[in-house]
Amino acid sequence: MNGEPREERRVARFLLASSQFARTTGRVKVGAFLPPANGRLSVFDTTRADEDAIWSLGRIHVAEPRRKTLHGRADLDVKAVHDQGLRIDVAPPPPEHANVVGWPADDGAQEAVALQLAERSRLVLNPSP
Amino acid sequence: MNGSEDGAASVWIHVGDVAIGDSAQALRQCLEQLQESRSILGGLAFSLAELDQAANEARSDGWDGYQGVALDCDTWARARRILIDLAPGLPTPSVEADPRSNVLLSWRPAPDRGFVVAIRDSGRMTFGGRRGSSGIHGHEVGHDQLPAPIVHELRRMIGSDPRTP
Repeated sequence: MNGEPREERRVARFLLASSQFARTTGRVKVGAFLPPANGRLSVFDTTRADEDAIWSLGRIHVAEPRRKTLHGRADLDVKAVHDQGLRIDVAPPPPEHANVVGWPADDGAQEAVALQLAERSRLVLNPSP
Repeated sequence: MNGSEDGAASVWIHVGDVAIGDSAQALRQCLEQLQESRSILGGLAFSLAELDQAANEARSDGWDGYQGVALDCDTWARARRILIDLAPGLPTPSVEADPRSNVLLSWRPAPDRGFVVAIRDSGRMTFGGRRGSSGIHGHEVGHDQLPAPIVHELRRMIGSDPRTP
């Protein structure tokens, strides 16, 4: 991710399963940040996008192609990702799409990292799911 | 009333006071235990409901909209037994399915303290935790209960005692 001081950037992980967050506590759960088997956790660069544009990204590029409900998103500062020793690789299309990569091989270590990412993320519920 | 009657009355009242005091104390203890049990059962019921919600949602591959693998019935059943037999004194965890077909139990009492256990279909459990700047991760084998080493690390990571390392 280039163009701005990287630590000031922000990414979003779109949430398509209601069991990945808790409305009552306003928290994103750990599993939302665990990588799939290919080690690429899909996120979107939302640094320069306003709210409408962010939800459009999630709706058009994530939820609708999969015929899923867009329940919400987990916002995360890029610094939080880098602090865990991970990096973000751009992966268009669309140009905002990226993957969090560089995960440790050990499953337990991945869980410890995902725990930290979940703790530092902010849950934003979709106002019109 | 003569002295002896006074004495008898005094003894009776004394015994009565003791009896009432004991009963009140026993009743108070019962109520405290009942409240604790209700709290534990309430927490357990919530965790079991979370597990069922997660299992219902993770019935097929791609359930999370990405590459999430469906949760299998055996892992769900194991997680359920583990929750019911959770070690005494442990707070009830948050429960969810993860994209690798595991059930995750997580405890996050504070931003700098947390612990997560992944229950896998193989009987293997992996775990990761953090307390301040120190972290831990590993794996153990366990079937229907959290293995003692995991419980030990869990208590160490999420305990409220600031002297706990």
